[in-house]
Amino acid sequence: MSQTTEQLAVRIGELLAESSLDQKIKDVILERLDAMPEDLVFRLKDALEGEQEELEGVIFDIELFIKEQDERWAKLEEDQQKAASSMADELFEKLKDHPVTSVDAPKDETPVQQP
Amino acid sequence: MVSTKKPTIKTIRAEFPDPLSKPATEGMLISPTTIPEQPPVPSVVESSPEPSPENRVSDSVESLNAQIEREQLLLEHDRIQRLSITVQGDEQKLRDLIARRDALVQGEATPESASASASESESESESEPTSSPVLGHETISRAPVSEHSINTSSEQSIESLEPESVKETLVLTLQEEAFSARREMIAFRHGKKVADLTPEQRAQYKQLKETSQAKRKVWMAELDKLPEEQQDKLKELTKLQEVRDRLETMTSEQVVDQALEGTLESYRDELRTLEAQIQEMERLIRYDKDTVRRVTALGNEDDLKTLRSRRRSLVAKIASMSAQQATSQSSTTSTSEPGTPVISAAPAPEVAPSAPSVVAETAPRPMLDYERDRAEAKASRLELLRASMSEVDKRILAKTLERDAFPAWNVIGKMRAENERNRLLDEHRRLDREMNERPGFGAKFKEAAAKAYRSVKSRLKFERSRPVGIGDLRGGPEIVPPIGESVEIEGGAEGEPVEPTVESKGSRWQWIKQRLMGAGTAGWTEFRPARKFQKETKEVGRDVASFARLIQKERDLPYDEAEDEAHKIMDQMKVEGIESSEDPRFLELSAEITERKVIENDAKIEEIVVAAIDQLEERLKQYKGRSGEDMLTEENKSKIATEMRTRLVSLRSGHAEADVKELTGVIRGNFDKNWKRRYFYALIDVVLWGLLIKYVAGKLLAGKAKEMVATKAGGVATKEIAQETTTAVLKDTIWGEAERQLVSHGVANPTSVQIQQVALKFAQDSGVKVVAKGGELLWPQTAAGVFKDVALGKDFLIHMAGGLKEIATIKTGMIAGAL
Repeated sequence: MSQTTEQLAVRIGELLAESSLDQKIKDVILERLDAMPEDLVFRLKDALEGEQEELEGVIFDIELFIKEQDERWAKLEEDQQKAASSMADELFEKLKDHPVTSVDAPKDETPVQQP
Repeated sequence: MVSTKKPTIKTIRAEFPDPLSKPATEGMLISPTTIPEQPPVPSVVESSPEPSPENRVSDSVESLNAQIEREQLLLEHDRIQRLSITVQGDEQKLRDLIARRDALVQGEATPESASASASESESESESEPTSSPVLGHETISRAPVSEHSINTSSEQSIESLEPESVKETLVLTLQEEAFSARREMIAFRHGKKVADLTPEQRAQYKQLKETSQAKRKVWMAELDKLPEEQQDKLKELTKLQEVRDRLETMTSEQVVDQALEGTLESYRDELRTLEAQIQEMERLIRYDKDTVRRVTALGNEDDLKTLRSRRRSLVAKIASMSAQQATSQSSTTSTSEPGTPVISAAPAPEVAPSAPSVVAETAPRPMLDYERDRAEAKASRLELLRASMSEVDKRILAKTLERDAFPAWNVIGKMRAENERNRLLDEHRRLDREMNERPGFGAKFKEAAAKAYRSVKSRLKFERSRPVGIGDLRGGPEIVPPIGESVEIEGGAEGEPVEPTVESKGSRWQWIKQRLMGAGTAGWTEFRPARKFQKETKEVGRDVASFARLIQKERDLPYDEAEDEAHKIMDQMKVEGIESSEDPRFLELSAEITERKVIENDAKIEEIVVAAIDQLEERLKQYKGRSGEDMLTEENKSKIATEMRTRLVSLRSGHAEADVKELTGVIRGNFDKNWKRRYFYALIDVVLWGLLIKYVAGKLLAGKAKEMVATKAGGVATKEIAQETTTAVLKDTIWGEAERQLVSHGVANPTSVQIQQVALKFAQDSGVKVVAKGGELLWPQTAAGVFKDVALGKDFLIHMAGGLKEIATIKTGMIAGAL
């Protein structure tokens, strides 16, 4: 067996192990790999590589999505925090400027007109 | 040589504007220098008013001027790029264009003549782009478009007039762009972790993804327009290189030739239709003239005139294009003379294995591609064989029928048919033999694949056994550690010590329990695991040593390997055009080879270590230590991996060789260094059992022996007594005689009971009734006796046979009791 063929065999073994194919199918393939027509072996390799590539792409995109979503949530949280904080500050300022007076106290001190 | 292909691709690409209208700087392959601005193409459906002859001439001159300008630019570019073939073609074309323009300017094409053969001159000027198909810089799609712009009666689109090859080239170009964009995206993603991406990189990735998706969409849309057969053919090209190879095989000459051929064919079709229309029209007009419908005939005559004009135009175009085609074919032949580089030098994949081209030799394709081509060629051959077989079968059947159809008298005919049939049968057998050749790469291939499969599986098992949280997915610490390290950090996350499980460490009680179990099973539970351990570790060691032979020597090479390496370096130097071995490149190449070996060896060593651990896990799944503890712990695995790796690394030197014994020792030493004690325990158990058996057997045998001795002694006594006289004369009393007999036979102090037993027998045998003085019967057993004991006189004959037997019994009992 030439080095190239050995490399091909190793590659197929690796790809099969990493593949999400059903175990039974994998077993059947491994069992019959010695007598499988060569062109089919190459097609198998292509298909497995394609599968791996696609999965890697999807996983990368999923990870990216999760990361971005987390960041968005973090940003939203921060914004809300900021908004709440500014509202509280505003309210505090208002309260500071206009302290709460007693309920009984008149709302405005209109001078009583002397008859 | 290779560079001559580039303008071909670029030209084709230039002829089809980027469907996404992206600038060339966004990863497009089209170089702005190679794409001159295209002159405006007249609209397909535009129905402009008939221009005057003067205007037409001036328009033609302007158009020619624009073309001349463009050709000059192209020519300059090709000269810079040293594209000799295209330069030659362009020069020729340029000369033609200038000559035509001059002719027009000098008034050779008078308004009258232009008017008379307006469509002809149009056809000439408009068919110019395809006049020199060798040039390669002409807009392929322009020819049909321009031609069609004057055909106001038909509303056919550009696509409908494009020949299949042009469409295929377009789709191939789009496919190449889509694949290219995808490759860029994958390349960008490769080796990057989402967590490490900066916002700019993320944006860049998204941009690449969008481009890739958009280009793919465009390609798919164009692909759908092709016939299904062609679609399947193009879909088979799944790799960028395949698409590029295919594109390179489609030279502009071929495409233009095919385009020309397709256009010609479409004109011929149109001409045929026109002929039919004209005939029909003439018939109608004749009919109308003969009848009252003269007005209608007048209208129809105009239409007829238009149709005839169109026919003339078509005839002229066809004639002109046929002549051009002939010219182009002759020029193509002249450019492909021996010694001249051929643009379409790339061989078809099917022929590649049998006849590799010069290009393939100077730039060797990867060996895997070669193997693939060979495999595909083999598959094609098999397919052909099948088809041939089917054909041969059909012919055999036909010949058989033919032979049987001959009448009996036609022997010659019959024989001839029979001979042909036999020849076909021979051919059938030959094909059958060829077809039955065993397919596949063989058992070693399968083994190698299975080994790699197991190795990766085991690695994945390792990795998956670690808990993976969403944090890992979000770019936390690396989930998958390198194989070498995975074994070591397996024990616990982030260096935490492993919690000892109940099974992992044996206690004293467990040790005692195991030993008791061993003792209970005569050492079987000690011997069996020890034997299994010894056998399996030896197997694993042997496997490791076998795989270790795949590790390449990096230094202190043996003579043959050093020679091989030197040959490789020299070959590479030849390829690079270096003749002298003194060249510094020699050392560089040597270093490259060593570097490659180091990388391969690293991978191989990791693979071997992981496979060995995997095998140990499989083979010694149930193995427990001396105290019943689990021995295949992560700690042990790590130790084995580390030490084995050290040993394997040492094999990189030319002096070291893989040793099964040593490797087995490594495994055993780190797995369970006290495994041999099991044999010792088993031995002790066996000895203990031996002693026990001896003791029990001794006891049993001793009992038997006593019984036997006693029986024997009794027998002897009986025999002796039997030989004595069985009668005696009474001396005093029967009691006294019995006592004397007992004493005389070895019963020194007989008891009253013994005496009575013997006396009773004497009395019974002698017929004596034993009574007291008062007449009372003393022994009821003697009641049948006649004589009275008390009344017996001296010299009375006593029969002693029964009494003596009784004495013998008494004696046997006494001996047995004494033993």
